[in-house]
Amino acid sequence: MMFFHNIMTVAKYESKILYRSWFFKVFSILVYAFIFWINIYDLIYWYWASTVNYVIGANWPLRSLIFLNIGQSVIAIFLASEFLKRDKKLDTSEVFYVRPLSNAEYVIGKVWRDLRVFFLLNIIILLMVLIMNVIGPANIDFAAYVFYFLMLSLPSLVYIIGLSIFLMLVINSQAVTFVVLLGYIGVSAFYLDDKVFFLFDYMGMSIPMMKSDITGYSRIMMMVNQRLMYLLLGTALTFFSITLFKRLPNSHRSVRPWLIAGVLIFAGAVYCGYKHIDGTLGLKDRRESYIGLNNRYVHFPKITPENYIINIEQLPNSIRASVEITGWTKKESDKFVFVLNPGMTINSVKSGGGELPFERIEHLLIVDLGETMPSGHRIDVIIEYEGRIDESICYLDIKDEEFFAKKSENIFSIDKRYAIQTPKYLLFTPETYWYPIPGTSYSTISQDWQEALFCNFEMNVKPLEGLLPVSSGNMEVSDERIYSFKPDFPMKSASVAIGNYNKISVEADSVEYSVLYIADRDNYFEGVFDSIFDTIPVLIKDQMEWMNRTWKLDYPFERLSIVEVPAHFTSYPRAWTQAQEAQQPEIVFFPEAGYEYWNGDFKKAIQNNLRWAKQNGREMTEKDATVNAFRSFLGRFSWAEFEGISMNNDKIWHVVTPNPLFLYAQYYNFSYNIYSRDWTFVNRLIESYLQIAANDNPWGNTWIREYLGLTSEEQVNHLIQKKSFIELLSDQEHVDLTKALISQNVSRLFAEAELEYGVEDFRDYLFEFIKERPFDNIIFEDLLDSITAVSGVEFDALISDWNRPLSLPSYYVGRPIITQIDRMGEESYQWEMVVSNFSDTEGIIRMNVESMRTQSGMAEDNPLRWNVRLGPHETKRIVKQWPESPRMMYVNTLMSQNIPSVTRYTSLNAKEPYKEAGEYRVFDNFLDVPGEIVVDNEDPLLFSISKGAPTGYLSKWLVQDKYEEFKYKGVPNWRAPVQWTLSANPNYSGYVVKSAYSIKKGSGSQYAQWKIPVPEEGQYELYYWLIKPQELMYGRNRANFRGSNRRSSDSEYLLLIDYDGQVDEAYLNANRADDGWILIGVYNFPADTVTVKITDKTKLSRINADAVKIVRR
Amino acid sequence: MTDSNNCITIKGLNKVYKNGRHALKDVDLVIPTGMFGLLGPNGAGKSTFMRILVALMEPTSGEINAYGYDLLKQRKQVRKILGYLPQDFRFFAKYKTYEFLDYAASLSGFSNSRKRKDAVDAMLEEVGLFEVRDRYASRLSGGMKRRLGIAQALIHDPKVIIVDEPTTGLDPEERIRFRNLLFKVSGKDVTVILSTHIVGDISSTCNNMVLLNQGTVSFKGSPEEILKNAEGKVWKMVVDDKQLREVSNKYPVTSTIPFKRQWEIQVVADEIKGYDAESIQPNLEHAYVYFMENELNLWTNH
Repeated sequence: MMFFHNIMTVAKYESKILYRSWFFKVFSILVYAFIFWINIYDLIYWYWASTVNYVIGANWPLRSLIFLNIGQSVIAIFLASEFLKRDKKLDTSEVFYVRPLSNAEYVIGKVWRDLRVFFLLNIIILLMVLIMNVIGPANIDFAAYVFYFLMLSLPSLVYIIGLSIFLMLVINSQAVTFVVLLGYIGVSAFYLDDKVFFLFDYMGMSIPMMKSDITGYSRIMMMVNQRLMYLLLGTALTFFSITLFKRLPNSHRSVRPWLIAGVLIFAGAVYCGYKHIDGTLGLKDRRESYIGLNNRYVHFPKITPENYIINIEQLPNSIRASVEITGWTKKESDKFVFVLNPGMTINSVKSGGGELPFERIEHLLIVDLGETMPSGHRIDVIIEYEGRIDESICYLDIKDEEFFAKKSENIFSIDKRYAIQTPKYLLFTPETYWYPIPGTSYSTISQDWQEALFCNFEMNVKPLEGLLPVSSGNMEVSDERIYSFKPDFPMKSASVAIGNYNKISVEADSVEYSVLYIADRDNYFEGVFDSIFDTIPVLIKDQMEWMNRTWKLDYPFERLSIVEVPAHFTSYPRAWTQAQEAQQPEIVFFPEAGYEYWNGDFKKAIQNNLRWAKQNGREMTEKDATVNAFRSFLGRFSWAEFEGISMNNDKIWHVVTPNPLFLYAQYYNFSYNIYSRDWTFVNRLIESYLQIAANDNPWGNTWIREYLGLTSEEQVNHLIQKKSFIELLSDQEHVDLTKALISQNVSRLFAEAELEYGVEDFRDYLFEFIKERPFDNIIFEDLLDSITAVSGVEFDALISDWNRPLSLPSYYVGRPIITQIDRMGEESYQWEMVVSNFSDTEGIIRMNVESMRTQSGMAEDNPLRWNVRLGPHETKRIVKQWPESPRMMYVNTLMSQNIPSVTRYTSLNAKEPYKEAGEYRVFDNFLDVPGEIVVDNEDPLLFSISKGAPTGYLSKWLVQDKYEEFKYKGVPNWRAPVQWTLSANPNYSGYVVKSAYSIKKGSGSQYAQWKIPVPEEGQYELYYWLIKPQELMYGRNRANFRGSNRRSSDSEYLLLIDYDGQVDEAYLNANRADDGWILIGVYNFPADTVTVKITDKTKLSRINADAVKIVRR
Repeated sequence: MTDSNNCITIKGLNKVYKNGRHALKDVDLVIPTGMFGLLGPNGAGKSTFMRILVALMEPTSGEINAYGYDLLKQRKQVRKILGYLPQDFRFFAKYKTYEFLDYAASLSGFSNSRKRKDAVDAMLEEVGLFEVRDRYASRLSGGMKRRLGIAQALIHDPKVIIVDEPTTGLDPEERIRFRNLLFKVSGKDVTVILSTHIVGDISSTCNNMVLLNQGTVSFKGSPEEILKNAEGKVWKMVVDDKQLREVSNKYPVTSTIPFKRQWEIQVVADEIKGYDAESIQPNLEHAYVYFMENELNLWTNH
């Protein structure tokens, strides 16, 4: 009893000091204020709140606890280690050391002091959060308050307090202990974070704890195990601290039990850690083992399926199924391989009424037909099995870094589930191999595994009582509650979801549109759309028509269901298809309560519409706002991906997040199938081409160049000269370039066919070819043969190029010249342009001209989009005539060395007309202007820059540049680089590559210089290629530079011209000039080398070093 | 109860620090009940001896038995019967006066909160701090802090009370008050060990004393015994400035008082030659100086 009495006494009185300390008071006030603020903000400004914060009830306390826990996990180290220091500092503390309490009682009392203080803080915070939960929009999940407190605060505090005291005793210096602990916290939070599946996440800020209102917590045992590990570690370290505590123990032996207990508890923590690591590494090993098996069996005989009849019965924690597969043998054999989820136990394999022997190897099933079947023989097999889905088989093709990476929304970390199987809910997509599929799953040695062909499916589902199954096709239900799905179209694979679904349907244009949402909880759109229910079919019809028009394809099904699935369900984008598992034929799996989307909450979206209208002085009825919200919801299905730039600590990277809801998958992937035995990605190639063909935007996302140095296409062009297309496609490091890689390659593949057949005609041809073959398995090689037949273009060489790095052409793209022609009162416009191939490689470039009006006004033989072939070192002047003036034009050099790879022209000059339209051969040295010498920064002999200031190893390590392999860097307009940095820009000078060096203004120590060889003595004009700094063009600074009281020196660059033994200074006033060649002055140069130098000494923000030229007078 | 259960017995006590300094050398002592004085110059080993006695420090060798408990093996039992007031007792955590005492009482085994409250109140009354019980301990005056110190040492009625330099820095009134408090306690059949370098504290209160010097016990006995040695060895004389300098070089001077433009000084010496000196009755301070000069040859006027 005295043991607890002493502990409580120490805790009671020590906590008084803590409550009275300013440090703790300030911390508490800040925490209360912060948590109060984030919650009240969501209440008051709920229209700004992230949907995920409140649509899932448990997230309301979770968010506050995550923030609180981060704060208290840091503060606890100060408080925990402080007490030992205070004991040393306060001479009155010794009188407590001479009391009969034991060291254990004292240390545990101190630890309990910290814990109870923080627990009280937690309780007050949770009560505050609960009050706002009651007022606010989120459902109240009482259990989550207790659960998250036990999972987050308790283990984190016990651990960090134990660790702090332990380290304080070992290191014996509070300052050093702080540095060590703060370093540890930093490393664990920012570096180790999600390593080894969140093993090092002691604060619980990353371990996926987000709950689903449909299925509850995910992988709770893994979570509990990890948290238990920290709880035990903290306890063990506290016990070790007892033995290290610098006060003579009550007796020599009194610390021994604590040491033994500490060792045992530490062993328990190690065991938890081992279990955690084993779970992760075990999963890695299993994935490798599956791939190994797939590699062994990928060429094993298999059947080509034609029909599936799937009978599945849902049991509380498993399924029982019987699947009949009818198909054709691909080659002669008596044994055939199937793949079925390794969690399933085979009960029997039957054929023709008799049982067949079989062998189950992990996820593979080898069926022995007992006799050799010839190739092309029809086989009918019934496989009966039962079990529970094992998710380790899923996404074997996804690299470990991505597979084990954290998925988060806002601050919530979400477990990634590929199949869900609870007594209340079930979701199986084809990725889980929940029914037997002939062949193997992912193999690294052969593409044979990926042969997904259209087959006929029939499915009969017996769900548990009260649940409704969802799958593709028309649904009928029998008296025995067996739901039958008979899709009236072939599919490549099948999925099933079973849950307590409610269904709302409308019909538009003979298509039934449904929303299926989980019924037994408050849902976020019940009643929201009642006021526009009659309008919904029209809105859907409008959206579908827009998609049909934009994608030049028709919606192929009679139904489209948006099915709500638990928040944990996750799918990955793949290189070979844009369709993720989140979509199945006629079905889109929509994340629970739209938690991932800012306006996933319709009520919020409607109110925001009203609010914005009011702010802009527009009148809007609630009905209009509801219509807008619904339109915005529909819009979610029409964009392919989110593309952006992420910046952190000077690191910049390209973020591409494909949209799993992108309905193009329904239009293309589930209706058309182009396959090749040799190439898995051909369906994606054609898909990509059709998308380009439907909506060609040659300019693309050129803004990316400003940040990353090169556009995605230019990065692909750079990489393809070093690695083959096939290598790059599987290169995880460049996964953000997948789309550009595919589109650049398919553009190259069909460029010649477009040239021969006409760009528009060829694209129309391809659409027609595809549209004639819905739900058909089209062999890629057959498609190419048909193109060869109409265009005469052979593809063998182009396809063999996929396996090797390419040598790319480089072009000069001249400026277009437009001339207005008046022929006997009839006005027309002549367009001409010089293009040249500087390289030894033949190439094709694409011209895109945009007119003021539609294409109808253009002459048929002078199309708006056409390809031009340029042989090695060939130069052409291209002339076209149209009845109206082109507004803008793009020259897309496709796969070339050019940077920028796409040139856009918007301003045009007038010139005397040519007599006839056509292509005119131009003399080779057309670029040489007599008497003119240009020295560009791309010239390694004549241009040089000063060596930059040295950078430390630390900053190099911290600012690791993912884009280091690319020569041209991103130089954002608003931030000048501190070292000379090479970047590309269409406004820069250059032929093949338009580039320049930039640097931030400085002391004058940095410079760039051009050496100009003057061929003969004489009078020359010296020009400098100016790129006007941003502040002279935009922003508030511009006004300053324009002010009459500004000195001209504020916008000047200093140039030093070194010739004939003298150095002249020349000032270039950037404010009075435009981009381009600026005359510096006229000089009498001798026949020698003249050096022009620019330094970083200027009052302008940056210096650009591009090109200089001299022109003989 | 045998003698050993009613006193503190120390045998062959040694303490050698890690730096090799031998702080205590073969200390053998029996400390009976009552006030026990521990006298010695700075660095004599008093504090080391005290810290070993209160189980804050482990001796290098030796045995200590306190009221029947082996201090090295039964620290918990010893700590139960121990009250300690350290030499430095100035800096407090943010406790109120009664909280500090209540904390100490609670850790000393007062588990019943009502009894504890009564004991704390009574003790605060006894040491004259009841009126300031709600004041933060850090805001008490020096004397009050020292009284709070003795209160916490006495709150659990210990058998052994160890006070280290308790009167240093106190004004005379507080010092007398403090001495009386200790003396009162020592009458309760307990052992009070008073370590001090203020000789007056011991002479007025202690029955027994030891004189520690360089880690060894130089003298043990009663204050009367050490006084006896100094009888006839203390001299009073009146000297001018020049003579004072001469005398200071020859003999230990214990007192220097200005007297009619001259100095009335007290000198400790066997005999005085060449000066007009009057023999006076020695006090403990004289005895201490005589002992240090004659037995240990340690005295210096500089």
